Amino acid sequence: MTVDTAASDALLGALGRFTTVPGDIGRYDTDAETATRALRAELGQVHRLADEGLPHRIDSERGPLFDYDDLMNVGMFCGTGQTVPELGLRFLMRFAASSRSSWYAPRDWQIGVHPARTAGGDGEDAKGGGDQIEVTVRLPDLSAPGVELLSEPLPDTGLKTSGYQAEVRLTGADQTVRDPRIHEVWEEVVDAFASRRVNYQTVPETLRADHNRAWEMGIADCVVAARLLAERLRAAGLEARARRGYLLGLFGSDHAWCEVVEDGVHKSLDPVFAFVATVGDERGVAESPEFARACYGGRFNRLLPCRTETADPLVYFDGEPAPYWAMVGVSARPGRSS
Amino acid sequence: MSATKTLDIVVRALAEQAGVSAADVDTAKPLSAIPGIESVKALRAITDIEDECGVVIPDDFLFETATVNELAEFVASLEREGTSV
Repeated sequence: MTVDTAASDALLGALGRFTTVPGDIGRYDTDAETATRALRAELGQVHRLADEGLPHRIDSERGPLFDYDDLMNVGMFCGTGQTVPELGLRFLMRFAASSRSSWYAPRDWQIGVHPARTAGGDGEDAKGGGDQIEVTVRLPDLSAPGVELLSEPLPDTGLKTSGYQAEVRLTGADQTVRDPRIHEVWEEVVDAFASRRVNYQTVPETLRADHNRAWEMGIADCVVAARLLAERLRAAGLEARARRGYLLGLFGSDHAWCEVVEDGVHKSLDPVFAFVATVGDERGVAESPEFARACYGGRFNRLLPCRTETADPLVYFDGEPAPYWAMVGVSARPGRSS
Repeated sequence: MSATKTLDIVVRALAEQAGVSAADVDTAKPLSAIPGIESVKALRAITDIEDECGVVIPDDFLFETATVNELAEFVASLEREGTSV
């Protein structure tokens, strides 16, 4: 029995729906074979992407080589419902459709952070030289409100080599924001997504580091939006920071959001979740205006912040931010006492 | 939809994604026992089952190590309750 793959031209529908990585930033090192696994596609489909204009370079031995972020955006926008980015969005956001009380109640999680060392994006580690990579991971911020460690102590450093396992209790907070200065900045960012002036898509880490350039190009993801929001709130005289950590669920996922201090309390602002929950989409994400409102100040029991105030990367390979596919090695399950 | 038909849908979705025949799916064992299955393939099968049956299977159920039979029974119960997407 063979596994069905997308129709021969299904992936092509993604082209034109996102902005490809600028040539000065692109890393064209992902071969077509790896792309087939991440996109649930056949080689011919991947080659057609190249023929129809997806940026690539030709290697005499390996054939067309693509930028992995471009491939993730093909996956996000092709509409097959079977690619890794589509599955991730569908499963990660389904908690938005659950009851309001379930967003905040204390919840115990067993987490394992053991980043994948080889590309593929499908949980199938390809054979390669991954063992030679030095992996560094960012540790959870155990001083953050609503985060309690239930297992053995973790090192008191921001970063740790290799990986870790831990059990944590996350408690959400049903709260909102009232300062009109915060509201003004929030509306500006969320409206940019809603009006499609800025396209929500995957942005490579190198471009995330220049979040204003990405925003001016009309593209943003959670990291870009969190950094931009924090920067604009600070410019308005408020105390704000860009957070980054894990969205816990059936998929391990890297997520970023912003926190602003009001009345001495850190309140979360999550423009990307608010946008996705406002519009829903064809990938199976339900519209939830109530959840979108909760993204303005509320803290959720599925978000584990790590030790960064500038939304720095969670995983490094040999000191450089690790590619998106490293997240395959992040797992979460309900804790023993849940 | 009958319970038998729901089980057929569940087995077919899991077998297709794992790349095995339906006969290779032991319905008395957990999903993880299906040859060739791993997390992303299992999630693809779950989306196929949800779309075909018109239900949403809660994450908390999927975290459990349910057998294929238990998954099919749970989906059938959701269908009876009218939990639709």
